[in-house]
Amino acid sequence: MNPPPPIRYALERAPVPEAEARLRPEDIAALYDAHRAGLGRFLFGVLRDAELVADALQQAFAIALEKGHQCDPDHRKGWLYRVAFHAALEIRARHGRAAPVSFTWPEPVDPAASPEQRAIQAERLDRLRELIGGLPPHEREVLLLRVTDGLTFAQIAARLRCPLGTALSRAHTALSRLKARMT
Amino acid sequence: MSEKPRPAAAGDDAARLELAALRYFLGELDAAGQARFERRLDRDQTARDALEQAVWICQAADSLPAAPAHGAPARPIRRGSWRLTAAAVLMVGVALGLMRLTPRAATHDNSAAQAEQLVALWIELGADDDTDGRPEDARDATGDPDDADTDDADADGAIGLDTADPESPMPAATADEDDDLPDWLLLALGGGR
Repeated sequence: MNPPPPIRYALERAPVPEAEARLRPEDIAALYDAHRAGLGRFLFGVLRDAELVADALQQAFAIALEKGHQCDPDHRKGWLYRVAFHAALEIRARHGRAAPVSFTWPEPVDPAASPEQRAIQAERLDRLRELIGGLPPHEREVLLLRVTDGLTFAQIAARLRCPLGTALSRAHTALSRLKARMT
Repeated sequence: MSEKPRPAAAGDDAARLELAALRYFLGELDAAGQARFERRLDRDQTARDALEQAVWICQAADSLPAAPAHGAPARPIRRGSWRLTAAAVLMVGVALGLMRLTPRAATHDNSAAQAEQLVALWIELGADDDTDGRPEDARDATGDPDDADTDDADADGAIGLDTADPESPMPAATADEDDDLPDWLLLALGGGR
């Protein structure tokens, strides 16, 4: 499989690594365990297609196996996300279409994760649902109309008979609240 | 839920980024906005994290149960309460039916036996009910049907019910049970005698 142009460019520019200098399989496995779920969600945000996400993940970790050792361990997450993002753009371009607007959700809790990780993910998802349920009604309403009913913010503003800025502001505040409470 | 999330400045920029990530994910940005956001995704991990979080939030919101989206959560229905209510209605019906059908003159002896049956039935149902407020799963944590049988036997034993003893038609712990018997049942029993 030909790597996408940005990754091919990076591969061509990089010196050929010594086999023993590469990340060990256990390091790759640890990287995979640590970032697979989050990276999968990020890629779903770009591709909105679970199968394409799987392709992009596979490509990203194949590159990590080849090149991951060249990255500062403290910045490995950012490096991995960037590699995965470029892989996603390449896959999207190869499929010749923009990411679909309507899609099927992948499993919210990664079925490939360990039982402990699945439990953590499920707990986090429950917590997030709880937080969404606890948002002030006018903020929750905008968020749910946008996400579950699929209305655009302009349509939401029309339905609620409020300015577009108000609808956006409510969503903006809701997201800030959720982020603040999740961290 | 009354606190404001963050003061302005850096917080505002982060919140704008979160909103942009949400709109990007939901396909609401125009081509220029999408290209701009993707340029940022290429160089900024906070934008990538914001997109990941937007997906996570949407996924959680999408999987929320539809009914309790607004207002207070629905009160769980206690299966035991329904069962108890149904049993009570049935028992009242049976008691009234027996009182009407049985001739007055011949009822005195029979009605005492019926009353005993009524009380025994009440106590048996009460022992099976969720009177302590715990869910049934918690009461029978082992899920072993033998355990459930044992509980029932214990419940019968605890009230000292001995239906084989004609001299002891009522349970030994009558005083305690009188407190547990509802007024309407006591009234029905009194009327039947």
